[in-house]
Amino acid sequence: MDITHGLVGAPIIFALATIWAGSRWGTIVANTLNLITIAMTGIAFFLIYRGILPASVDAVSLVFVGLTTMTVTAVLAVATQNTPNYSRFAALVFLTQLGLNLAFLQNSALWFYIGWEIALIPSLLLIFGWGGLGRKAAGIKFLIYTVAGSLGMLASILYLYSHTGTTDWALLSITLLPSSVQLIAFLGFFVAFAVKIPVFPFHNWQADTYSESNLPTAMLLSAVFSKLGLYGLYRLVTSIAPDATTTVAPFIITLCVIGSIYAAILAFSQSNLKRVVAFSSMSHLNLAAAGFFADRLLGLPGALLQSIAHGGVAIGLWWGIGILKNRFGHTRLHELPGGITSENRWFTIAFFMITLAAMGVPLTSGFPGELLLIQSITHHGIGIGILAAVPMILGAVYMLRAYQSVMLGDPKPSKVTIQLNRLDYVMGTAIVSFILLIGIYPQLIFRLFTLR
Amino acid sequence: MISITLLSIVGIIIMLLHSPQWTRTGRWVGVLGTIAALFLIRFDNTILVPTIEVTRLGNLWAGLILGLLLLILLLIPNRNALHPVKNDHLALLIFATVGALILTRFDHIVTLILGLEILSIPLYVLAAQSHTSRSYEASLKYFILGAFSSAVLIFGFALWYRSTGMLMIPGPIVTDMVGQCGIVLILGAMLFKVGLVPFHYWVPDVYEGTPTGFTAYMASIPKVAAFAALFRVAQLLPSDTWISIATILGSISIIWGSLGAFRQSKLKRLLAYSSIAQAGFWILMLNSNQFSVYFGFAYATASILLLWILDIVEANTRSHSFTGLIHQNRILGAIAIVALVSLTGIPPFAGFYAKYSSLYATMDRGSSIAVGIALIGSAMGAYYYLRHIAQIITHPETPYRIEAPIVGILSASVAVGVLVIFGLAPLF
Repeated sequence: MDITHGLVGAPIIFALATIWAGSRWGTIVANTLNLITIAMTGIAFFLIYRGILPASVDAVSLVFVGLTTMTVTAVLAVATQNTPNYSRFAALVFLTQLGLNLAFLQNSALWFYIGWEIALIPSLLLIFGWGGLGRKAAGIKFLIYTVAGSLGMLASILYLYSHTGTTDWALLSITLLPSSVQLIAFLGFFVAFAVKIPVFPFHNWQADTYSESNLPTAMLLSAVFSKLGLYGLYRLVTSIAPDATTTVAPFIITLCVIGSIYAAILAFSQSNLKRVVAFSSMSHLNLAAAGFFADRLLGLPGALLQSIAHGGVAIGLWWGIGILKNRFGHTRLHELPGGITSENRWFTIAFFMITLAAMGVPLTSGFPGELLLIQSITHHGIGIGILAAVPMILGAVYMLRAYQSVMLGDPKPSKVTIQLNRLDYVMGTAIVSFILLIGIYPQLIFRLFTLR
Repeated sequence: MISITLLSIVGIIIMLLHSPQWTRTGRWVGVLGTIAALFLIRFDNTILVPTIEVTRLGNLWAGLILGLLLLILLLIPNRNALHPVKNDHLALLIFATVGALILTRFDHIVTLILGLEILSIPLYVLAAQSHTSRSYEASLKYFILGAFSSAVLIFGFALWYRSTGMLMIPGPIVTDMVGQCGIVLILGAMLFKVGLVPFHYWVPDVYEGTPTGFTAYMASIPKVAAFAALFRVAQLLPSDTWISIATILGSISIIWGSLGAFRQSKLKRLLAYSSIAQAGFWILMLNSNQFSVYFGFAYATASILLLWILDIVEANTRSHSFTGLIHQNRILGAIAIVALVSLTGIPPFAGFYAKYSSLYATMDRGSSIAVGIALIGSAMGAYYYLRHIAQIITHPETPYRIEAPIVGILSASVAVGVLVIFGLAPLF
């Protein structure tokens, strides 16, 4: 028994306790119990920084678990406002966390698959149970894409297992597989991860799912769910198929860069703030996916850092949208009154910081990862490197455009009021500090990636 | 033989308790008798009956069948059901199970035929118990096709006997024309019993016409027993022939069943078609081993749970689907979700490992095309099973409480626990 077992086992107990607590005590119980997870994650991080690693886990896994803990905390906190049946919601969030932690912490492909699928069902229930009007169609679309993709992964796992007799990441990484085997295994895994991230031709489910689910669910999906795919890519590239990776790298990098630009253009033309964020998320993560294939020295840590940084930014963006949604009841860009800046300066500043991070401005968390990614992609040719920088420019365009129409200008009714409560102040401060911390001192996370 | 004898006696006792005031007693006699038989499996021997064979694997199959019978006896006697279960019905269920047990044990043709007939004849009666035209149709269809398949089986064995001069199974592999014709007929009849493509046409109609409580039985125990027998009879074939037959028929069944299930809105027909697809996965395992027993456990338990819940829902609301179930009864809704997820083959439930080991066995002998087809079938399965989860969660038009018997709820919860524990245990 060590701390990782606690991180995997605790959520199921928390879920049961929250259900049992019912509607009256659910809020308090869920958030209090989550403190235990935070404490365990904190201890785990403390141990790594002291150089004491649990034998079975490497630092990359723990970083992703840290992201999961952070997101679950944010989701539980945000959901305390305006979520009917809070205790059931929180229980499902805990069950999702169980699957995610299982996938991140167990060092084997089969357990990764199991955790992945365990996380799928509660998140599907979150969409079905709390989503908007089109939730049923969106949920089923999400389901079909993800399950169809993950069956490709299952096929690859079976294929690998029948060739090597193991599905352990570490053992697979020291097994020299023939490159034909690697290539077949690679394709199955890649389809699954490409759906989850989502990489360009597999992205059709994402915007619908995000905009039809309620805000905490969207936060959960975009901040950690997509990271399952990126974590999987990391394992795929480093342990399973290093040779196949170099073979297919040019093709996949091209795909990802196209996807990134395409998503940025789509984000520009959306009229719903939720869909802007959904496509901006896709744009960033496509670039991160390209990083895994670009090179080992810069691209890999860059992509990992970008995954973590994007988690923080996604939480922040959905938090801001949540406040707007609570106040105005919708998120349609052209019907929001605008002019919030004259009313609530603190909120507009916090949201601006988050917007800057989403644009990848230096000293925010978006920058270091993106810089490394573009630099590493440039190694595959200057043309594709330049193209890889385009989403960053487009990002500034669509983020600032959205920011402008929501926050600036004269409010259409002469006065808009936005009232924040204490929770919002805490959340906003925490998110902005995270963004600045990673932006100013990215070494904090980099150190962990090189620790292995 | 002890467990079979005991179960027969229990069946006779329940049959004698047929007056209405003994309904409860009959049920509990059945439960206790099944538990006793479950414990007596280990002491089975061949002293009195030389035409059976007691093996460890046979014990495993028998244990599974008795466990499923126990679950059914605890679940289905629902007083509010559309078609109340009387003791006569319970006795028929138990007699059919006696036949199922014989099918896990035979090593002689006569025992096999005896087992199949004892298993089938009570089912023909049970299928008619709705006393509607549809139910009679189901019963008659099942009876005629079943009797026909029995005749084909016996004729096949006659030809086989002419060629080999033996009545024992497993016997020698035949090479002459007549013997091979016999094998084809035998195989056809056995595939009819498990409901695989191309012998599957009876499945949806029979499932739909039968009262739902008895469909729960029909979907589980006869299928498990028929698979135990099929895997044993398959030893009469040369192994590579059997591999290609099983792989081809398995793949076709998976696709055919999934396509059929795709557009079904009635849960019962959906389960009928999906049972064809599941049988496809099952036959891909080729052999009687602990994995195929495990598959039977995962598939049958989930099916029983779903059909039991459907029985309750039908009795309460006259609806044929689970629309809004979670708002009508939390626990039933949760159990239904678990059962659907398990049938889909999603961890941590037993359905995942069942499907995984079937796919692994297929991959291991190199038929990756069959694995691909099976995976496509799984993806389609995810759609048609999980679509019903969406229905369970939607708000019903009329909020209506559904009451379920407490014994049923408890046993079903235990079954769900077993699905989780057995689903995770083989992975460690």
